[in-house]
Amino acid sequence: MASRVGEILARVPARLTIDGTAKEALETARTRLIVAGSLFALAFSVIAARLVDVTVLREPREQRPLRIADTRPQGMDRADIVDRNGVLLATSLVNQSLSANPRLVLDPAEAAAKLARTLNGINERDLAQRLSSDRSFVWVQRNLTPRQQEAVIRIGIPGLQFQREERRVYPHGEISGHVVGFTDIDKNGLMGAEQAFDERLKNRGEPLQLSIDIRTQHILREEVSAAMREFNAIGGAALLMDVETGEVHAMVSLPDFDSNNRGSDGQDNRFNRIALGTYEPGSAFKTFTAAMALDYGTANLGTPLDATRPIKSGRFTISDYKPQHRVMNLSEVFMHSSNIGSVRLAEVIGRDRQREFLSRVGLLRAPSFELPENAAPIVPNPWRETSMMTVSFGHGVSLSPLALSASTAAMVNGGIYRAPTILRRQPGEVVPGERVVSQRTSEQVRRLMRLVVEKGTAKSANVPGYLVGGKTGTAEKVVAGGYRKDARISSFVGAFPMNSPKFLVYMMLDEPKGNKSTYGYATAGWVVAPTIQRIVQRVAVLYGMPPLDEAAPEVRDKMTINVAVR
Amino acid sequence: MIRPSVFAWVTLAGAVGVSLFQLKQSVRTMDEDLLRLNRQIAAEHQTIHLLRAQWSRSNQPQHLESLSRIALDIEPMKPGQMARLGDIPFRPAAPARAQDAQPAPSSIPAAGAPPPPPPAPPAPQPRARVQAGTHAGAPAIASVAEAGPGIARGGR
Repeated sequence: MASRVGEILARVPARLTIDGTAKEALETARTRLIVAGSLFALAFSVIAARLVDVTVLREPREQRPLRIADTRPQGMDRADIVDRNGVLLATSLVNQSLSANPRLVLDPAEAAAKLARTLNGINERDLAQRLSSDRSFVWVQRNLTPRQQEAVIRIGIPGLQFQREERRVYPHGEISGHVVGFTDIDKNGLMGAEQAFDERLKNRGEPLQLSIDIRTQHILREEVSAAMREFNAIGGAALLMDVETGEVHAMVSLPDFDSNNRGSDGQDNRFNRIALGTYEPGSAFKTFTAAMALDYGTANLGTPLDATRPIKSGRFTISDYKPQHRVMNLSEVFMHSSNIGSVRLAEVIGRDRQREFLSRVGLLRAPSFELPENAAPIVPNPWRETSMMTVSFGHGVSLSPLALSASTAAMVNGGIYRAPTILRRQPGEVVPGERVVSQRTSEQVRRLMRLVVEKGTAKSANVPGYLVGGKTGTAEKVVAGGYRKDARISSFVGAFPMNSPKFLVYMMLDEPKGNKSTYGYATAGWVVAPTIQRIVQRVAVLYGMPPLDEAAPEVRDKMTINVAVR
Repeated sequence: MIRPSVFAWVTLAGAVGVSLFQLKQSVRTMDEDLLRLNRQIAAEHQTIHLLRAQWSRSNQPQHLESLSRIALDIEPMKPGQMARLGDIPFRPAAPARAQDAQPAPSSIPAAGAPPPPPPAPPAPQPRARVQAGTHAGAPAIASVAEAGPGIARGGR
């Protein structure tokens, strides 16, 4: 039997094939199985690959938002402005203002009572009335402190909303107005440093440090406003500048305004008399006439100059305020502020060299200064012989006190002109400058300026131990077609201590009126010099400058003039 | 009958599942903590910022000046109240000490000053303040009055 089966099997072909419908069904099933299986295999291998990728291969490329505590100080839209000691002058504060949608407030009376208890200065009945109105938006209170905001959140009245508002705040707004300026509602700088450094404040987070010292700023402002009151002046201004670096430590223009609250003041208050106003410097300009004569070598401190009688030039007559009717030497001409003597000096120098010198010391162009308020001087054009004469004693030319001060600083600091700046220099930073007069000329100008305070027109500016030196200037105000006898600008520009100047100090009063204490005089020696004395004294004490021994030989040596002066 | 290997795998899978759940929970709690902390830090920054502005406001020189006029019995400092270290004469009755001071005179501008105080150096030293006891030879003279930030009271 077994062999029979074997025979049959041996006859069957090795491959068993099934034909017909059964075979077709089997084929289809097999194909489907293969397709489904490979699909699953593919899906699983994608998942596996992705798993390996995510867990093993992938670097933590995308920053996770929450990884460590974020302790960076929050950036405001606009950077702070600070003074040279880091005192905050301008900052942005985030304020939350509280509003309500009365339609969503369930119980207006209760809500008003709770809010009145939480926030100060809310009239409960008035608020209840507003909350029961039919509108969909009412202000409850603007500018809440964070504490108040938290308290309001805690009482949890429905229908209240907070509006985030960022506001520019000026903690020293009253005394830094002209320097710092202000912004508009969209926080674009409109004046002062806010305008000058608008891009910088918007783009970089760290505070902007100015060269201003808010303490000296306050001293100058207080003293100038006291002088304005005393002499009934319509305006005043003062400047304190480092003669070595050009840094402006204080810049005051009165009347002034509060950056926080500028709507209440007129446009006049925003006018910056130091940098934007141009005035005839008057006798304060004689410093440059003397310096140019000394620097060109056309005169020395003892050169005699004929001031016996007024000079006639065309229809003008140039005379002296206090005529001496004699031949004076250069030192005496400077000390007595003789117009005639200054013209004599200029005549020898000549028109072209005068203009060349004034241009060299930076008086014929607007100084390079960061603030947008920066005026170009008004100079004679064409520069005639008459112009040469009047310019020699500071008439027929108008310039900003800032320009005058920057150039005067170059006269006393050893002869280097440095552009004034409102930005703080780093201690030890080498400030680029340009030599405009020789060291020797500068030393002689110092002696002359000291002489004016020691024996000349500005005696009341003297502070024992601080060697104040300077030059007064009193100019009648220019009106259309001439000068006003009754309205003048009285000013003083000087520096201290004169043996090695540190600070330049400038002050002016606009239309001061003499009073009993000045015997009716309103000239700079009477109305400005005493304030200079107080300013120097307070600034010196503030900066801890010990007084010098004026009798010490090496100090005397630097201040004496070896010609007879009377 | 369950084979031991199947049992082991099931147990392992269960353990991994439980610990993963726990890890996830703790990460979530920490995330919440972090979020809360960051909010708190932001709020503190806000407060600090506000306080700085208030501090600057409270330190207005004119404000301090009026306060000092009301509350303090201090006069504005005068230039004569300042001195240089070199202006202070050495105590004559301590020769041993004076000798001690001599080997290192470079640190003091005018060590071993003669009886009439030496003339002040020509260059002003704006920040020079007298400090008592900075070297062995200096007599213990109280330092000069500190000039407060702009509290020079009433300039006139």
